[in-house]
Amino acid sequence: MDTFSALMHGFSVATTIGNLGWCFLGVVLGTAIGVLPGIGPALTVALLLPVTYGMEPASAFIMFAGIYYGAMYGGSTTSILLNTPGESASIVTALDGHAMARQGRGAQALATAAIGSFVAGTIATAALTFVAPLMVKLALLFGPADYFALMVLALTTVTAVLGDSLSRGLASLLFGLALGLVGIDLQTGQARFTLGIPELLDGIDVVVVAVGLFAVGETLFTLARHRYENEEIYALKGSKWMSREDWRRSWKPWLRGTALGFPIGALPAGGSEIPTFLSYLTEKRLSKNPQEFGKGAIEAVAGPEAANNASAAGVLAPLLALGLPTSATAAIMLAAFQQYGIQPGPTLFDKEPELVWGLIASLYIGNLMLLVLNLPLAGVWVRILAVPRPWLYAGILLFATMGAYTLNNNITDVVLLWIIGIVGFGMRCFSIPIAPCIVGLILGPLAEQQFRRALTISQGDATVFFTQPLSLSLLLIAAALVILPIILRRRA
Amino acid sequence: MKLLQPHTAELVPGVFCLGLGGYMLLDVWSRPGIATKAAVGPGVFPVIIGAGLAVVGLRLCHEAWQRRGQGAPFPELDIRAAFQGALAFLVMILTLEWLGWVIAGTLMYATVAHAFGERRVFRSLLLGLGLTVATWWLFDRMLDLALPVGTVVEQVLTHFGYEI
Repeated sequence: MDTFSALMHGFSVATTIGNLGWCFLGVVLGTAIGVLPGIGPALTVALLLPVTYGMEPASAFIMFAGIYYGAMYGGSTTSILLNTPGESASIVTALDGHAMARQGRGAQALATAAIGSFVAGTIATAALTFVAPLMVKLALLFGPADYFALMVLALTTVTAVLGDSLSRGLASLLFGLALGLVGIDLQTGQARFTLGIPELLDGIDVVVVAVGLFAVGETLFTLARHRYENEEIYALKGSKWMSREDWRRSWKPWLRGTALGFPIGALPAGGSEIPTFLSYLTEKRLSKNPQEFGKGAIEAVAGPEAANNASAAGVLAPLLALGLPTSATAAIMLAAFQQYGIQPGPTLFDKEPELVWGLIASLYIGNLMLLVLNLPLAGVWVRILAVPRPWLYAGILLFATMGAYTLNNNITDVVLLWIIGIVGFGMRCFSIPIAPCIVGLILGPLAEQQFRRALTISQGDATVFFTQPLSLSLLLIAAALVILPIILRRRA
Repeated sequence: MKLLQPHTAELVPGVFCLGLGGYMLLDVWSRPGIATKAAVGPGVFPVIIGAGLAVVGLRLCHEAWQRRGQGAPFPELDIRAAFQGALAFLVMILTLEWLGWVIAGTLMYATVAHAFGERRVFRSLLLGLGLTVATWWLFDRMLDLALPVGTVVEQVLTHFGYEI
């Protein structure tokens, strides 16, 4: 089946009334969650995992993808009006977006973000449609050693590129990898680090870790910072529409942002932070008035927001084609696949065409829904920001408890949630990034499996990772990603 | 309220990693060898990760020691409020199967809201009650996810002739 007819089949899956409903629910939930400061798409998908257990996998993933995209839209609202980025990819938007809001041009900032996100999301989804099958062909060439090297590369980039301290990123990654070891070793049946607690034999659920770090840790941190933070919401006023001048200044940054966002998101380098920063720098360099940047230049909102959404589509390519998550949300989505007993990777496109193509088709539809939801209804989303913080965060803790308890109906998971929440609070206090921990937890066991498989095939010869060209080059890239920034920093 | 001097507190992540890494290495070494034909046993990855944690822990301690208060200023934290929130959450967890979702959840909700500075306790209790009852109805009754009714609540309800 060629890509086009597969996509058409996907549309027939995604446009059933039920799936349209799930898509709508996903984008609405996602936008609301993106708007709320402090909670992001990874947490939402994690909390919804137990609820979706009885759903059709295709419907569940259509909803998850809606949440992922919706949160990208919603996040920009918070950055622009509140200057508190809802998720890390909107940090750049906050710079000029908030400056625009202070000048009473909040509505135009929101509009260029929403239209830019739509343009970027649609182009990037089209790119995903054609890149993912190509990636599958590439993935079929991979042996265990190459897979292991690829995972090392993904883990390295998540760790080394994000955050400003390599040791802090590594600490987070290794903590996640250590949590991933807990439970019965599948090859030998040996229990590892279970502390004699029978509930730990199955391992620590990624939902507990994600909810603990993102919801509990974040709530405790907000609690500790609450007295010192002053929030000021800028109301929307004046004309709601973008002027001709705004359009003229926005369309090129949208396209350039997309061109940066999708490839970087699709590489196992992943993440949406890098493309948003790159887009900002590009626009600043190309602009005739670079002095406006930081003081409310519309290009600085249009470009990064487009890059942000394009990379969200890009991240789905390695997730679906290689089973390789490169962001916290993608890691949770991988856990969701595992919940249904589905292994993402090259075989997914053959085994579950309805799921894959239904999901991709739903991205086109979700984007359109988001544009309609966000342009005229921006004012409604702003109102979510007015929920008093005490009630909002106390409610988040309630939902966190529910998510952890309903996983296995035992109290052990909730106690673990508390412990990991305390660790998460510590991580926030010492500004240790959280994404490496989540990606490490989910990729660690997979990497170990490939590592042992590769060494079993080579009969214990560890040079196997360096003698095969694919594996060697991937490991070299990973090493370069760690070493180059250090050298560059020394020189600077 | 200061629990630790700022520059002592900066040692916490390093010491944590060092301790965890040390524990993992000790655990693997104290285990009896396992007979396996596989080239790599169950201990190899834990040793790599444990050793990595120990090295990163040392590095973090070293960095913290080098900075000793000259680094970026530590964010101001209201530890008392965070402590109240963490404690309320823990109490709820420990009483969850006993008092049940609705009562334990409502009490936690109001206590956390109070820690955030919400002084209208009665209103918080009402909101918490509304939220827990609504979620219990939606998730336990409609979506078949089991939330604890609570052994005490169950006894009281059976006493008055209700079956859950």
